[in-house]
Order: sequence, then C-alpha cells, then structure tokens
Amino acid sequence: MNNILSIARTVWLEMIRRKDVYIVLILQGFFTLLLTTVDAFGSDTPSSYIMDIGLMLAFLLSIVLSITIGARQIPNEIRSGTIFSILTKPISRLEFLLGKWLGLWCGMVLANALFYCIVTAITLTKGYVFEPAVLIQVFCLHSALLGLILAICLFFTMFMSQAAGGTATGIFIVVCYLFLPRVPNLLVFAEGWRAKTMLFIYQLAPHLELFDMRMRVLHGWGTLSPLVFLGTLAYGALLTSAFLALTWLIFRKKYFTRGSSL
Amino acid sequence: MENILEVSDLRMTFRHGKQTFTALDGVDFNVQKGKTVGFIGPNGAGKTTTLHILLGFLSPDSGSATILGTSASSAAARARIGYLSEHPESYKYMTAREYLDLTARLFKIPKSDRAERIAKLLEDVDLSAHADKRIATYSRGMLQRIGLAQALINDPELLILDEPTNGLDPIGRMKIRELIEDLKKRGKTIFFSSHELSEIETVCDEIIMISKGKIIRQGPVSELVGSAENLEHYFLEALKSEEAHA
Repeated sequence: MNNILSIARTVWLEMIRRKDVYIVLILQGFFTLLLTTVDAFGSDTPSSYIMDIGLMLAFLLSIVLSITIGARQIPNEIRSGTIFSILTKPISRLEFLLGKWLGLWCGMVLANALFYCIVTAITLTKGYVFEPAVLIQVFCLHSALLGLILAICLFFTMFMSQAAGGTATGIFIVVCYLFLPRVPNLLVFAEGWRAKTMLFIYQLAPHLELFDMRMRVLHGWGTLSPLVFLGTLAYGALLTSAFLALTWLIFRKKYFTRGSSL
Repeated sequence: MENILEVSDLRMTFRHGKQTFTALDGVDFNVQKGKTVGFIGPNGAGKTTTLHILLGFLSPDSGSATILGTSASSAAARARIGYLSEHPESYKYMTAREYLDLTARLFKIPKSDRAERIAKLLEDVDLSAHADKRIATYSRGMLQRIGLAQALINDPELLILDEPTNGLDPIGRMKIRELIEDLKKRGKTIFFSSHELSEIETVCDEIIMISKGKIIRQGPVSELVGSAENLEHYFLEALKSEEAHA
C-alpha cells in the first residue's frame, strides 16, 4: 500500500505543479459567473438555468481534464525514461499502475469538488434552492464515473500514444454515453444475429449515462433509493476494476524502450 | 569469492512480424562481490538486452539471471541493487530532495533515516545547494548526479551503471569517475556498461566483452589487454578476430 501511495503522491504533485487544473477551474468559474450576467429569458436568468449549465460544465470539463491528465501518465513515463528508474525499485507493476490510477482519481475528485463548490456558491447567491443530499449523490456518482474514465484512459494508453489514447478514450466515452442508451430503440428494428450482437454490446459496454444524475437536482426529483445509489456505485467499481485488470494484464509483461511512446 | 551476479545461458530472440533477431545467444558470466566489471561491446551486441533482463524489464526466452541468489526479476533482487540509466530522467516537476524522498519510500527506508540519508547523498553528489530547486532547471551533469544519488539511496550491494558518463563534459565525467572510485573503495560491486573504453580501462577490475549476442572475452583488464596498446586496441582486435573466426 505504501508503494501505491508513493506513486499516487507523484501524480498529485504533478497535478498541483502543472497548470491544467487551475486553468480549467478558472474557466469554469468564469463561464458560470458569466451566466449570472446574461439575461437569457428577458428577465433575471433563473438560478436553475445557472445550475444546469454549471453542472454540465463541471461534467464536461472534469471528463476532458481526466482524459488529458490520464492519457499522458504512462506514455510520458516511457518517453522520458522515468519509468526505468522507478521500476528498478522494489515496486511491482501492479502497484505502479494502481498508484497512478489512485493519484489521478483522488486528484480529479478534489478538482471536481472545487467545480461543484463554485457552481453551488454562485447559484446559492442567485437564490437557488435544492436538496443537498441529491447534490451529494450526483457528486458521488460523478466521481465514480471519473474513476471509470481514468481506468479506460490508462487501458487505451497501454497500446497507444498519449494523443491516440486520449482520442480513443474520448470517442469511447461519447459512444457509450450518447449511443448506447439508444440501442433498445434500434433493437425493435433488428432481427437475428444483428439483434443478438446489438444486445450483447448493450449488455457488455459501460453504461455511463447511469452516473449522470444531474436532472434529479434540476427537477427536484429527490434522492435515489439507497439500493439504486449503492448498486450504481458498485457497478462503477466493478467496471473500473475490470478495466484496471485488463490494463495490468497488458502492462505486467510489456517491454518498452526509452523514447518509445507505445 | 562470492558471486553477486550469475548469468547462465541467456537466450533472447525478438520478433518483428516474420523477421526474427537473436539478441542473446547463450550469454554466461558471473560477477564477484566487490569487483568493478566493465560490460562492453559494439552497438547491437546485446548489452542493453542483457541489462534489461538483469533489471527485470525483459524475461529471457531461456536461461537465468540471479542477483545474490534470487531471480533478477524479483522485488527482493531489486531491493539490493542500484541502477543508473543512460539517460537518467527524473520527474521534472519535483525537486531533487522530493525525488530522492520518493525513491527512499519505495525502498521502505524508515522515515527517521530518510532525511539524513538524502542530505548525505546530496552532499556526496555535490547537489546540496540545488536540493530544493526543480529538476527541470538542472543541467545534464546535474541530472546524471541526481540519477547516481537515487541509485545509491538504498546503499546497494550491486550497482548497475549504463553509460554513466554519456553526454557529459570533461568536468562532469571526472566528477562521476571520482564518485565511482569512491564507491569502489567502499567495496561496492559495480557492473558498468559503457562505450568509453578508456574509462572502463581506468575504473574496472575486469571486463566482459559481448558481440552478436555472445560473450567473446572476459577476465581481468590487465590480463586481457596484456601486450596490446590499450583496451580500445584490444577491443578492436578481438572483434576482428571474432569476425575472421566466424
């Protein structure tokens, strides 16, 4: 566990000392503040509208940031050669990988908490009323989603460069998030092997839409039942573990030479 | 004398599509405790492949490599070695002190000893004045010295150096050579890969020469070089003789 935490600390230090997180935080604060000045409906902009856009920004920016930071971890280590110094120490490749993921996830959860604080603070000043428990659930599921995205990102960068791995993760997320929920509608028109293949993909691919509960805050639908909430978190944990396991299976025997970018 | 490093019949073939390349073709050698051994050979001879097997980056097709009796790829073996790579890159966003602290943690060096050991190493490699500056601001020579410091953090029984003076100016080379001499005096076993044959001749007790994946010569420097003008001449003659023999 100490080795995992030591590697996680390197990721935190990198996140603190590089500018990406600050820029995204500033961007989010700026856009959300800008919304408060826009008279979108011919009268004072409703605070729920600010919450809607603010949460959407938090989702979008946290995913972009996760992919950007996640995709550079392993390829950068190999390209620069730092991985050769680290892996000659008594640390296993599994510990190295888990340390990277843990560091990224904790860093992203913290950055995400700041995104939420900015949105909440701004909407509260505009008189928005919401149930804090619902927002906490939204935040927890969002954090689980980020953990999954980071695991997917690490998986793709096992056999792709930083840029290609990041792009592949982005495309995979868009496909899973936007198209996968529509598969049941298409199933009505499919028959035979086509229907079976679509159903198989539908069941196997990660249902990222389950982790997006923003509408519950915006429409005041109340909290999810504990069973559904915990079940979704468990589903996220299972998928994250599966992607990390796949990543490790590739990484444990991977031979790399300095300067190569996989 | 006890063997600290034992390499037996290492074989390794790389495959790229339908093409195969034999990198190691039955490599055998031992390194005795307390010796400084130079590992030399032309480009593509199999030096890096051998080093990568010793460091656990690669698994050989067959044969074995043991460090102090345990498999070279095991964490137990890695806990007893120090490694300086040809291009010792460190995390550029860290300071030298933070980087050494990270490596010390990986070796599970107790917190009570860590700060003192790091300070001593920084002093040894002449980086105390720059200990809290970001590594991104370091020169090539300073990077090499911080690389050497991280390799020594666990007080290793075996030190593996891959081209330790590569790309350094004469002063940088001299500093690294002095550090190696000091380690020799302290009884450390050093396995040293380099193209700088004059350096190998000066620093090493023994040499192991590899060519086309096979060990072609090995023994004490004085015995091998013998009547030849210097190691460089001996090396070239040995390669010519092997080619003629082949």
